[in-house]
Amino acid sequence: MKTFILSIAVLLIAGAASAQIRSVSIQASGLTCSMCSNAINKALKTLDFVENVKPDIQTSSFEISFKPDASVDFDKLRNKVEGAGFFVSKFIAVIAFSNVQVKANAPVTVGDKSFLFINAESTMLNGIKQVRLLNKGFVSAKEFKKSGLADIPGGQKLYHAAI
Amino acid sequence: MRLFKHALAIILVAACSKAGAQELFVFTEPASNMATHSIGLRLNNSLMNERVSGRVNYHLVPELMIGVTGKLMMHGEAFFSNRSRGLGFEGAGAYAKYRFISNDDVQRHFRMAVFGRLSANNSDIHQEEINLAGHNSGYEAGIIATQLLHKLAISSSVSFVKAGDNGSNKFVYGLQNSRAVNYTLSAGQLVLPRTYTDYKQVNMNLMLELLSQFNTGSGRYYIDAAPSVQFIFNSTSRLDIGYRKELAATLLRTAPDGFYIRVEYNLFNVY
Repeated sequence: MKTFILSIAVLLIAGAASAQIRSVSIQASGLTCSMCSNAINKALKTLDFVENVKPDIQTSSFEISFKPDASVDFDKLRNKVEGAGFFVSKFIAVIAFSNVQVKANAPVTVGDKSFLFINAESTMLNGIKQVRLLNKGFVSAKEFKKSGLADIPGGQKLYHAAI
Repeated sequence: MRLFKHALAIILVAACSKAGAQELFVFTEPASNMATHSIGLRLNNSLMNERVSGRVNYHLVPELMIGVTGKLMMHGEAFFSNRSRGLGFEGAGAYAKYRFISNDDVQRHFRMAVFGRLSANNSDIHQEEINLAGHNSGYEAGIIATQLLHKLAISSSVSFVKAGDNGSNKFVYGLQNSRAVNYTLSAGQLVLPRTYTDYKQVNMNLMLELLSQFNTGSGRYYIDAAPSVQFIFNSTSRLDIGYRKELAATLLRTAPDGFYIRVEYNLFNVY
């Protein structure tokens, strides 16, 4: 009861909870050369919600920024990497949180997406956080197998995540 | 020959001295494919020294490549050569490759693919060697395995090849000798740039490939070595310069040694 009252009080004082995806950082696996990196770079740029892609060829990484108010689709980003012939080995969403309450085993909603934080206890999220996705296809096949997490089908927009 | 041996030694040393290379091989295909929705245009030029006459057999093979999905790609090619008189059209071929295993990690992978090739050619049949890239009509089916280890790539393939008649030009060496097995072993090393900063940097790869055919009917064979250097410009265009040299052979061949020059341009997300 105490916590409940406290939560209400926090909500009243701090205002409504909000969260927004600022950018995404992807590391791809299976490539070294710049032509392969360029294939991913150009494929990512074809997505209508992507504003800019900043590649780091040396580490096979891509910083992706989005158009204002665009709906960001993580599965489409992943599919572009796989369409270019490679795989996503690391997928980090940079999300700006404001008064978002995290509880164990309860998904956090950000726009049309839900995140199940596997390592977060009850906490209040504020500020810019790096959220690493752990679903199949968003980490290496080896890492997914090792994690023992259940496979969530792509269309559900529900993601296991670490913060 | 001595010069060739020296060049071979230099390339071997270069390929082994650093941990690094690429798999965009010149004389063979890797298990990886092009990106989906992309198109590649190639002009393949062979300048082979005809043993008996000493003249140069020029083969021109324009090639169109299509990335159908991330796992499937198709090639279509046309065969021209000056073997008869002037530069003439002699046939066309189709090639498809499907990647069925991908064991990927950051800057490394092990991949396997199956491929098939169908060629139609109406040129005269002048050698026992079966070559579907501009000499024989026939089909080929095989398997490729490629290991990428940061800057070094190693690839191997085995395929079964069957030659038919070239239209009215019959395959004169007998049905028994119209079948062969091709083996290839390729190594490639990324030499430049040492550190990537930009897509505009020129990439240089050194490669060494061993190409072999064993005729299942006659038991005759050839083994060639094919060193090459490759430049990649703007991360879209390629220039390959290779030299193919017979190391040992019992198969009758008319022009096994010579230069191979390819220009390639890739267009991403075109359809």
